[in-house]
Amino acid sequence: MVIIGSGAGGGMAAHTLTRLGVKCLMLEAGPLFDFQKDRSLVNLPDLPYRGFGQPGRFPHVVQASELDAEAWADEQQNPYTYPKDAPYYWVRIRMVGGKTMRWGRASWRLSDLEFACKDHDGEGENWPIRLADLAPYYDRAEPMFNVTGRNEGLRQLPDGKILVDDSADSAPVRRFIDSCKKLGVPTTKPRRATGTLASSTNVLLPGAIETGNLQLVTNAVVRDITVDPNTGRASGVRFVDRHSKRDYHVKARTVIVSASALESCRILLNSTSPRYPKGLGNSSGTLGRYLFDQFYVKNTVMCEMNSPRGRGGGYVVRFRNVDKREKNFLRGYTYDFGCGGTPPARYIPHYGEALYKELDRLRGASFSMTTMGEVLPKYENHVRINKDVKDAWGIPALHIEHKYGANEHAMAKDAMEMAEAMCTGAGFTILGRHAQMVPPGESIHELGTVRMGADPKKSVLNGYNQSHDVKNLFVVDGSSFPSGGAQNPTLTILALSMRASEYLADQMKKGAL
Amino acid sequence: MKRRRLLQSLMASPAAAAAAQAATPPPAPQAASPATEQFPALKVTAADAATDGVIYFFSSEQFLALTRLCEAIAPAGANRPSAVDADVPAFLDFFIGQSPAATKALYRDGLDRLVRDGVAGASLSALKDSWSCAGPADAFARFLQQAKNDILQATMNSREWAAAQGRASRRDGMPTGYFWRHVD
Repeated sequence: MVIIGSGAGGGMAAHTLTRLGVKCLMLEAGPLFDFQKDRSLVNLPDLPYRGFGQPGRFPHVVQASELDAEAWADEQQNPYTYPKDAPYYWVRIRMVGGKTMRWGRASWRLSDLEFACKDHDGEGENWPIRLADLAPYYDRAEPMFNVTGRNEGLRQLPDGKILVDDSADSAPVRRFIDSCKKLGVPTTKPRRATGTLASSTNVLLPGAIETGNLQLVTNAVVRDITVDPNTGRASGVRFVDRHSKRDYHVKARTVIVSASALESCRILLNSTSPRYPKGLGNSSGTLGRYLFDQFYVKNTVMCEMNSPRGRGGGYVVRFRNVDKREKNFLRGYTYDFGCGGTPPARYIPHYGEALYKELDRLRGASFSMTTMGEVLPKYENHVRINKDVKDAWGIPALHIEHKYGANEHAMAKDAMEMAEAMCTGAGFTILGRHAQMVPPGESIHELGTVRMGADPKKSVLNGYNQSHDVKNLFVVDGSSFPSGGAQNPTLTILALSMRASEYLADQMKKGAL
Repeated sequence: MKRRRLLQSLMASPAAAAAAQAATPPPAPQAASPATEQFPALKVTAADAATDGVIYFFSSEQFLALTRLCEAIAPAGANRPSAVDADVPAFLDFFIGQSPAATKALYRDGLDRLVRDGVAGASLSALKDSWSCAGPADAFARFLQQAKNDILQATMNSREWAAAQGRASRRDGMPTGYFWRHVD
């Protein structure tokens, strides 16, 4: 068994399969980062760029700070292209643990509004599974990551096996929640994995290695998956050592791909052969298609709280198009909200002494909301191989085309107006509001391009994340999502990977693989 | 040595320094025991804490206008240094000099206009405009808005700011964070 990638999907696959006695070899493109030894406490003013970071080093990674710049994949070594008028911000991490090394740890379940989205409003494609199929795996993934939060009994936000967060809300948070209630909008506590680092590296991989069934190879940059021309099945994986650039080939009985959504798709698109000229497992022609993510509008509103001030935050649950069709868009959005900081200086129309006086007056007075909206998967939003551009290891790069459409723009505008209504209802003063979505990709929730589905003519994978065309090929990361709601996707990736891995082990036991 | 510290050292009394040395005799050398020998942790100093960076990007006229802009946007207060105290003009010369071409042009054109018009209330009026997501259409106004944010952040992220905050609160005001080392 070869597993490509060590993040949420690959880590859970290794964790699950090794405990079932399956021997696994994991290929990780980056190095092993020791969270204890490889970080050191520094004085921020001693940083050469005073915390701004090196200019131009990460033009597409706004999350990279001067402190953690080394965590993010180098953009020069790992190039990609996009149309001039449609920038795509592809944010990558190449180290053991993948993006679980820097994730926000928000851990929501998807609901049947997502799994059966076409049944609900006629748009897109249903998943081949429903919440009932995935719930037993959510039930096990949540305790592994010590997810805390509050169950609300809402159909659009399924309850979880979580540690109950019954902490008291501050006065301004209570005022905000009351304002939401008057507007018929549900709210809840944040729901997230606990711990400074709730990562594949400390939750999933140690146990897998302890079984003696996992070999972890670092700095292994995968070129493609090889195929047995007689059987049409995957026969192994070709990879190149990141430092020496020496090429390797490892044979595999089964291949699990979980290199992050777009890297997984890139590997399959680069895995061409006479039998699979359009990419591995692409008889449907949908490989690379239906790219989407979740759009973010950062600081949709920035407010000044009224007195008494306080700290804390929470989550506004999707309320649009749940029980009835409403508004001029499909689907819905959510918000994260938080308070207790100082509004950034750009919101304060002063300079000099007057600016400092306002900053003093507004210290601890900010209340802000960030919109997270569902993005409709569309055929035209896609990735393909750009043979003219290669990475530092000579592997053809991706060309990414993703534009938000009328549905997303209408949703973002509604979200801004509703956020303003919620905040003014709480007595807050609006300092700024807007509906400008960040560029596609920036939310780091890229999804689709290797989607699952019941119909092999419209999808790449079946309901167990298994290729319709190549039975010993599984793809267990976010690329498999046919739709994604507005909920952060990692918990669903963990549950899907666990489910696919148990199915795979069972199939091996039965001799079907 | 930093220019400010050179002045301070020249003002210090040589006699007082000699007395301080006499009061604390050097410790007697001791033979290192292999069993107890430890590798010493040496205190090191960042280059810009020890000396001044070379000004290379802005012209002398532009640098003077930037210095005046820094004084206008972030003046000194009771418990805070000014942007000039915090060496922000020199830092921005370095930082903007390494920035993408569009940022360099924004700064150079903006500073040229301040050289021409002077750094006065009228030329800074765009800093009193309300925030909008799209930002101002006018390039000079965009320069002022960006310069305001850059100057303020560079001031607040300086050693001088941390020291002043520490004195005001009687606690160590030095902000810290975890730095991720390069791992191969």
